[in-house]
Amino acid sequence: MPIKSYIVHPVPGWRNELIAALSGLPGCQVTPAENNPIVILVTDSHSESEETELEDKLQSLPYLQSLALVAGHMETDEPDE
Amino acid sequence: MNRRELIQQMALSAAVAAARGVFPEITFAAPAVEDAALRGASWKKTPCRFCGVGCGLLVAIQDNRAVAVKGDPASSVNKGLCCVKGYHSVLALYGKDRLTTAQVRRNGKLVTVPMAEALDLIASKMKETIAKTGKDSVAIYGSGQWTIPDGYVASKFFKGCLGTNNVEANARLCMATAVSGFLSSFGLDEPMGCYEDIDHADAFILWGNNMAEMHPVLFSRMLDRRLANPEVKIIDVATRSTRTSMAADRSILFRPQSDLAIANAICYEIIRNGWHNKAFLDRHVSLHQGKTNIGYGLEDNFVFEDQAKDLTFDAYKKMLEDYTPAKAERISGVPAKDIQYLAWLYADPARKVTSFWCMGPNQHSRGTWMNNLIYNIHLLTGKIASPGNNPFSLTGQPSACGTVREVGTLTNRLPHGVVTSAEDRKLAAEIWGVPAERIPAKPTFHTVEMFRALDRGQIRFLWIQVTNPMVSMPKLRRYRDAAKKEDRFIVVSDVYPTPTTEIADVILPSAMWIEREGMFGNSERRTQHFEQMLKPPGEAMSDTWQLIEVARRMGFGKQFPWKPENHIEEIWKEYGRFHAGAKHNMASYSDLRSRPGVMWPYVNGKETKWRYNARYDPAAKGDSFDFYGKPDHKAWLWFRPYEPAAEEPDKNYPFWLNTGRVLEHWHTGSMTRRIPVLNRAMPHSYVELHPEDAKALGIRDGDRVKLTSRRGSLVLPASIDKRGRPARGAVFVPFFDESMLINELTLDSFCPISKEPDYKKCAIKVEKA
Repeated sequence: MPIKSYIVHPVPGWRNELIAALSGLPGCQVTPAENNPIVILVTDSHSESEETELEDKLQSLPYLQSLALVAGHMETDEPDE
Repeated sequence: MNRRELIQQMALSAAVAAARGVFPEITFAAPAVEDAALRGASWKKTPCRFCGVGCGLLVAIQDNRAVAVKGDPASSVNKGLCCVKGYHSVLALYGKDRLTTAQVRRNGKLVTVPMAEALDLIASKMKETIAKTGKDSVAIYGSGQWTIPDGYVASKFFKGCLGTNNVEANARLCMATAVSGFLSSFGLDEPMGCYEDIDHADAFILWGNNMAEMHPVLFSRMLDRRLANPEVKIIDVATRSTRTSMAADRSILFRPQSDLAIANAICYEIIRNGWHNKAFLDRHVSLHQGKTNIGYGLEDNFVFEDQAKDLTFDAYKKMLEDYTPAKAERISGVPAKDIQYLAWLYADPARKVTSFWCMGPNQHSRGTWMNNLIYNIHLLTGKIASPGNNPFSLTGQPSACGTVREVGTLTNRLPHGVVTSAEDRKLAAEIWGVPAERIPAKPTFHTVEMFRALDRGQIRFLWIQVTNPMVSMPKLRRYRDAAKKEDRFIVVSDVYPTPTTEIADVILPSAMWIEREGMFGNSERRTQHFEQMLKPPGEAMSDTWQLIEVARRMGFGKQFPWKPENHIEEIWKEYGRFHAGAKHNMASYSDLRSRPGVMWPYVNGKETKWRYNARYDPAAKGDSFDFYGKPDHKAWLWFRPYEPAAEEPDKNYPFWLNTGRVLEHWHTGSMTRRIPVLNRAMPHSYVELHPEDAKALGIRDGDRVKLTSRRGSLVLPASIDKRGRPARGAVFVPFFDESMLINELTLDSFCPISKEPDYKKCAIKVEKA
């Protein structure tokens, strides 16, 4: 099911809070830039409903200014080769 | 690392790459996922599989699987950066429909056979064809994705052993014009500068070159240069607004084909203002003119040979009077003040200027002329062959330079020199261990003419390796029908099923990229080695070894005595003999293995970054510049006029059709369309229209649009103001999508000097479907 990566722009002044909030969400992997406010977010969910729920949670985060999707992959749940 | 973790890593890498595209200076701590998931993996160096930039990659290998990719920080090409295709490149190894067994067509159907049986059949069919219709009825058509050993073995087998010059490669469709441009202006192929020019230049003029999508890593380096020095200017000179135009300081749009007039007008303006470098011209440049009204190659068996006449500076100046900025404005639609600005920018003594170009000037029915004209500007100003001052032709394939141009896998070329030279044939025969008289002195068929010869029946056997001509050939229908004719035998070596394997009588499964050992040569004369990191799937075999197996079956074991375990090293040593000397010496095998690429000429352990400049180039004599490729040791400035395209819009077909590539897909898409992330980002082709043209035709974004040329028609969805915007009266269609074959509509006109087709210009009709 979907694996996506985003460039996330925090609301100015609220970057640490945003990182903490994103890190607490299930299936979210956070990679902050070292010299720029942006944060890279990789999400991995196991069903469409889980994905929708996650998207809702992301949209409702008060510290998040904008979210730009970079890559999306609809992974099937087949065994590793 | 499991598949899911690999995809997470790829998604992360893609986002890092995208962020670096916007903020070139951005840094990230090593992602935690990498450390955790890749414990135990071994990282190995390789050039990227895709474009001609030649980025250095590090690939993580775990349990015979490539599990991650990152840019190689030790590579001077990309300095650790990667584009979205590079980051996802290893996924191209793992498409579900990889070809793993040989197939032979029997009673119209492809059936699986053992590899050895397929190789036996190929050898016997070649022998039979030669016996029946002569050695010039068998041919090989390869690629700028051939590794250097692949191309070398193909040339030795066909030219040296079989005695036919029927060797061509798809680089004829993209880089042949750059070759003829370099040869006519400088006497030797390939750029005098290197990517380090980006770190020195103060102005970049991009001619018909959407670098933001086609060469994104170099584009990032250029943006980085501008970020560090806000005085740096980037000017985009093109027929279509693209992501490159958006990032440029100025975007100049011109009517298709009229770049010839603009470049001449720049030269006119430089001379009119007295901005030319007289001392440089007197000492290092000679002036010439060639034939005019040279045709378009539309008829079979078209022949053209240029003839140089000497020209005085005054005569040249007089000829340029047809190209005042005002007159060029009438031809090109570019305001005279923009042309004057370009002339000023090129000539400003305080600025170093680099010109970049790619398919715009190359896939052009007067492409060699256009290359000459860009050189003219640099020669007039003396801004050439020194750091930051260079004309630089970029390539599209990973080894168009290394294999096709340096090994010489074109009908007229040899690994050193040309077939028409007795001396070059003698050298080749000595190294190959064949009689000199076996190598024919006459070239046979360039690519378009090779496929025409297949149609006419002069060629009966064609072996296609690492390329997909049934998507990429212009005027495609004629050549597809040709391949399907009775008594034609087609062998295709590839990694996935394509429209080209559909016309095959035999399909050979090839080992791909890091599943075998090889070398690629990039745009800046850099040769890069990669080791075999993975076992190929099933019976897949490298193209090099396929050729060796067939050559041995045909009785040429003496010429191909190598063992599987060290054949690449042995081939490299033999090939290196062709280029010994200060002008083109190649690095040793051990140097290539240990370093992330080495630029030639490589003399006494030192790379040559700038050729023809005695300060940097050991082959250059004297105390300044020495254009030693020409007998007079001067660069040749050519007067080349404006002439119209082979087919221009008219009442019945009122639009220009321009074709090209997109960021996500590499060429015909046979690899990148099997990488889910890339395919989802760009799932199908489209036709870009100018919004006002679309409005006039009642077409909205996403509507189905029918395009019709004199050769065929095609329906595609409309794209309005998304990726790019063509000028009014023009449309753009990418060619990566085999389900929407735009080359059914294109014209097979070509530059009479380089024989490279013009994929950028033909006339079409546009209707709402």
